[in-house]
Amino acid sequence: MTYIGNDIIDLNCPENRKSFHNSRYLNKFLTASEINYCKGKNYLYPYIFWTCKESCYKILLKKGLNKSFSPRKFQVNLLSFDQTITSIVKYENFSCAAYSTISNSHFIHTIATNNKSIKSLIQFSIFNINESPIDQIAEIINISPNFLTINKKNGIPILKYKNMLIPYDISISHDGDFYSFAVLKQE
Amino acid sequence: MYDFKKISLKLLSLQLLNKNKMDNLKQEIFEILTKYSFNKELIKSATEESNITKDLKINSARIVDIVLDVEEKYDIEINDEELENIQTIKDMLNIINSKSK
Repeated sequence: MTYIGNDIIDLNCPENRKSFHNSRYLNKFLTASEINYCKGKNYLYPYIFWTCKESCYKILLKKGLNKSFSPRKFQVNLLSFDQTITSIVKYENFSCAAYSTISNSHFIHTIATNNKSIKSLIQFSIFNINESPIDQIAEIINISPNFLTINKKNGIPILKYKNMLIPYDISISHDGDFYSFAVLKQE
Repeated sequence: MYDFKKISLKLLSLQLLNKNKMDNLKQEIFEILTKYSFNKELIKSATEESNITKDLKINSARIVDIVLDVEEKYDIEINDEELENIQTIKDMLNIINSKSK
């Protein structure tokens, strides 16, 4: 089964700025090799690592993981740096691909999937917290927002239309001033 | 000969001490959670069984802040495996209790 996860982090959120510049905080969520990788590099790398780990965790929850997020148990290996940064994220015997984008020093957004071949089929949107997630999702999947609802089952978001489950895998994220979601139509 | 009355009183006072210690710990944990919560009302209505992320809606990036505060306050270290198993407030209380003895 193919699943997706996504995560957004607001670079201007005061709590994030405080935490992500604190070495104790970095040591608590980055592995030794990730810390080594970040040394002397752009301050944005820890944020990229974070969103990759969290996106991977959201996939694992859908696969039935019943544990809390323990970020140091995820190992991120950055592979390529174009407009999109591609990574492989590993957790025990599981691995997934992650694709991160940085937007004008406002946010970092990552989408992860356990099936690289469907990357182009993932639709996503990033929007301000004041906007309605339902309207945004309805527009992307081309459905009326009137009867569309986001429900949660065991903490995992699901989409319903007229109270009926619709065949989309969805991942939602919120941080600071931003919301993001990613959807994938399930075959 | 055992003085059962004395022993009972001693046990009772120990139980009261433990209860006070647990109540204080609970109060301190609620204060830490409130500091990092987006929705303070959810903390007010929380119980020991409340799930920290699902019920209290605390952002996962702030969970790391909470763990760091707890480690500092109680002079303990919560490792990666232990962190994975902290889902509820009760889990947090239990881990602090087991480590700070």
